[in-house]
Amino acid sequence: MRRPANAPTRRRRGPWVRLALLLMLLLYGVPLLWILITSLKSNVEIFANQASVIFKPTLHAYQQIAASGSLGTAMVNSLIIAGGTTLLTTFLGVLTAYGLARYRSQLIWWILGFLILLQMVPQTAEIIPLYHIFAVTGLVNTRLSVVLADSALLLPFAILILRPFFRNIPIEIEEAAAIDGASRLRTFLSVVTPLALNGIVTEAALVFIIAWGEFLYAISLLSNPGDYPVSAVLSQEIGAYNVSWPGLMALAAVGSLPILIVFLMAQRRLASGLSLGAVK
Amino acid sequence: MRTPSLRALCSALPAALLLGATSAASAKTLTVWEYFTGQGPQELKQLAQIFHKKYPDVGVNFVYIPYTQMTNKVVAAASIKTGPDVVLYNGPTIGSLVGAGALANLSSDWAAFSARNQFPKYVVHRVGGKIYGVQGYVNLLGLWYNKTILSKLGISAPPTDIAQLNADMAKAVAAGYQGITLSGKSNDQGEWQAYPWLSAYGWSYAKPTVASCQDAYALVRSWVNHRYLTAEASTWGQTAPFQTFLGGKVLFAENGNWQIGPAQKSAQFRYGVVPMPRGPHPAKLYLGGEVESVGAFAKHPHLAWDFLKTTLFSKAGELVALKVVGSIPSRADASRNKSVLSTPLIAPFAREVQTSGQLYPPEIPGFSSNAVERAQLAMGQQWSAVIAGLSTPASACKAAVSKVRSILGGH
Amino acid sequence: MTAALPAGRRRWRGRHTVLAFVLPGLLYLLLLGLYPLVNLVQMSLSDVTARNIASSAWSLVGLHNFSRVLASPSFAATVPNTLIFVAIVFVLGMAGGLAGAVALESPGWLSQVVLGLMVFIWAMPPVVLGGIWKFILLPQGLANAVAGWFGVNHASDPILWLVWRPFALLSVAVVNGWAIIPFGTLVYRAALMDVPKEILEAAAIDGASPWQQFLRIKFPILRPVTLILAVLTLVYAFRSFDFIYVMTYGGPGVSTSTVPFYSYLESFAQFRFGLGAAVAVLTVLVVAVLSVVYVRATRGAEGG
Repeated sequence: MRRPANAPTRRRRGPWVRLALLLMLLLYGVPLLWILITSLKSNVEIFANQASVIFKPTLHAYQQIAASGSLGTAMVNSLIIAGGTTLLTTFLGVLTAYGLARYRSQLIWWILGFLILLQMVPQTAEIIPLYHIFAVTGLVNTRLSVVLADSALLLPFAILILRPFFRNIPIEIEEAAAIDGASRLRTFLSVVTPLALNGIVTEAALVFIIAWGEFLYAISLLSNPGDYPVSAVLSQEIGAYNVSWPGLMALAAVGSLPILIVFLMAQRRLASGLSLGAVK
Repeated sequence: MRTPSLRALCSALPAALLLGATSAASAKTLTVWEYFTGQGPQELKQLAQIFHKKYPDVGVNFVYIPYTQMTNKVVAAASIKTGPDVVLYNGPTIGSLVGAGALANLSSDWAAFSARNQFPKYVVHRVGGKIYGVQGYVNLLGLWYNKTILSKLGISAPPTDIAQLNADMAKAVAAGYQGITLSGKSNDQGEWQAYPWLSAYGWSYAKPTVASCQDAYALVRSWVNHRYLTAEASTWGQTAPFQTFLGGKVLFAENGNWQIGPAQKSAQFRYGVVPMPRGPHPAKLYLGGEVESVGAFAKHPHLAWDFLKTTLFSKAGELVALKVVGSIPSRADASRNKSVLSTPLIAPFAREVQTSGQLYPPEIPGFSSNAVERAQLAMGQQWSAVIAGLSTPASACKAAVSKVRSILGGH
Repeated sequence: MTAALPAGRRRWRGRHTVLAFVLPGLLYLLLLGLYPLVNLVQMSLSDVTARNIASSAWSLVGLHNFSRVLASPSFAATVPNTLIFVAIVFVLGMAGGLAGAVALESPGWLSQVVLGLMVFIWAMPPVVLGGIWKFILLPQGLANAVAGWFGVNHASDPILWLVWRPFALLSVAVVNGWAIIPFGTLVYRAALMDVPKEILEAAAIDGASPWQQFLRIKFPILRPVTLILAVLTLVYAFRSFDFIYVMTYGGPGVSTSTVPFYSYLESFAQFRFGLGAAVAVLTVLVVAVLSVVYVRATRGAEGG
């Protein structure tokens, strides 16, 4: 399955390609670096010269967010929301995607069309109705409501990502298990799921990443900023003009650490598997 | 050892998910929604201490809601018949909040309040004849100046009219400084800062004219053209321009009394404040500041009213707001206090309250505060567009005035 | 084909048990996905403001909200904004994605680093990316410093990237495009990996230049992928919200508001929920057309 990096061509890169790569390195490396550099500056330095590269680094911004303690709360909220969304979405997504992969009928195109339509609806359009549903059920202002809303947002995406992985599993393998007398559910759990594990991990990583960054449902469904996840805190801080940029960037850097961890764990799968799922 | 803690965790987690972070203390707790930043939380803490002297057993839970989310949250909460005990919010939104049924009618409580005569008329907010909120203090704008730059430029006194202001800014820019900072944001904050200039040219919402609007907006546009003012101001609320002023390279700032604290804390130069400069007419100023209301769905409405009576509607409470944040007390017995009139930074603002204060939002007989709010927003949007250079003063004023007339009638 | 299978196998491929797998997810989406849409349509046909959002007894006003929206000058301004925004994000995402994938085909550590970096950026929360770009684009920020090195401007006369027309809209769109390029790169990269090596080697032996190889062999293989990626990128650009919210909040004025963002402002800044819903319904109609295109493309690719 793993291809060596140089598989497609063994051509040596020309000057244009090298130039393109360097440009991409700058375009994607500098903003990332800039987050770190800014977080190590003092407010005085920012005021004097925002664009400086040589300056006296300070951990002041990090010490401040550590002392305020609000980051810890926000991280826990993010973990609950992104973790809960990943679990719920993956559970429902795996079942549905398997069903859709094995179901042969014209109806399937209608269902897929429905999923894609949902996937395409602007998030802003769903806030008020969702708020009402959660208000009626008494879930509004709870992190659970954000988990449910995020799952509704991401489930179509998860199903579309997962379905090709199940389609790629030859049905004969299941049929062999069926001849041995296993039930459909058991076959699914013991034979199909392990084979699709690659796809499930990819899907779970993507859902976690997107749920970690989601903030619109969070600021709309939660009244108490004590329940806000990191993304919602950041969205309010950046919008608020009286920003301390070093503090904000320190918050962004620390708040993105879990994404780095997920990225490091899933990088290879993301780079090779995502596209397969997303496209077919 | 391990099992019970695990069990506790398992039962606590769903509970935490359901309840959010609300404290489940058995004693009574008042919930207060606010958007205070800077020194604000310090003020609230001291107000709570005053309240605790009378009610030692009642907790006060201040819930910070970001400014831009406040109206949203109160309206949303009211739509499911919940909400805070007390809410501190920006005046012009009172129409939306009352419309959403979020605020309690305080008319009878107010009638029974012995100190009510201490409060001037313009801080008592009525919607449809009923009282829904009162301001314990007022905030208003003044012209801050950088004394250090002023003396370097050889200017002896800060300006009192727009012609002097223009001349001073021209000198400042020629010497490598910036002229002025203000808010040009396309919302209520921008309109709030546009109003002193508009009124200096004779603008009034009761009699909107294109000419008065155009004079004011052409003035601010000329500042951008002459580089007295950066077009970036079109994205600024009221904090960013003052921070820029505190950087020490700008001669003037149009900003409020609530900036006294930040100025004392971080200005590296000498500064002062004077009333807003006059044009053909004297500048008029909105008397802003947070309106205090009891929520329609308060759990403890009587305690909530008592909280307001003992804190922001009391002399002691208003003096706390003055001391910590620089808010101008609205009670007569508090604003006549020596410390108000003798403090150099407070005195100009206190004087302005007497001479040029205006009800905020302005009252237009026969029109709901909701309609006035929309008319103000139309002016604020065009104010922003002119500063950003998206619109000429002429076309901006034509659009704004026709919008205002369509909302508030032709006059 | 089915007829040739033994009876047991045929039952395995039967529909009913499979349907049970689909049900929980489908029900969930009917409740929390489709019902909100129905609710939205109802709201768009009613007079809903902060005053009556709580009660669900809204008075129907027919298409009144739609005619008001379509007559509004602010809405009229958001339509060209949306077209320009979507066009920039789309072109950048597609062309940048393909160029990135082609460049990353070359072996070496640099390719590995760039690929990792791009995937990581793509994974970062949009608020963080929007935030850092907002900082870079401030008057005294890095962007103006770089422009200064090239002599484009002076420090005393900075470019106001997020204020001036048309800079503000272009800046937000380009940053948004920058953020989606890695996705296109990953998709194209996977597709390029599927190009059979033998054919390329044979072509190389026949003396075909890399450019000819690309046009004759790779391009046809990339075509179906391109169609689907195009729809996904279009939709992404169209519903984009996070970057606008963080970087400009649609301003100054409505100069960086797209149609979906305008819908948000109508509902949550003006509390005119009926009008906001009408704008949202208009946007859903547009994406509905795109979803039909997507289904057809997928169907074609799967041969269903």
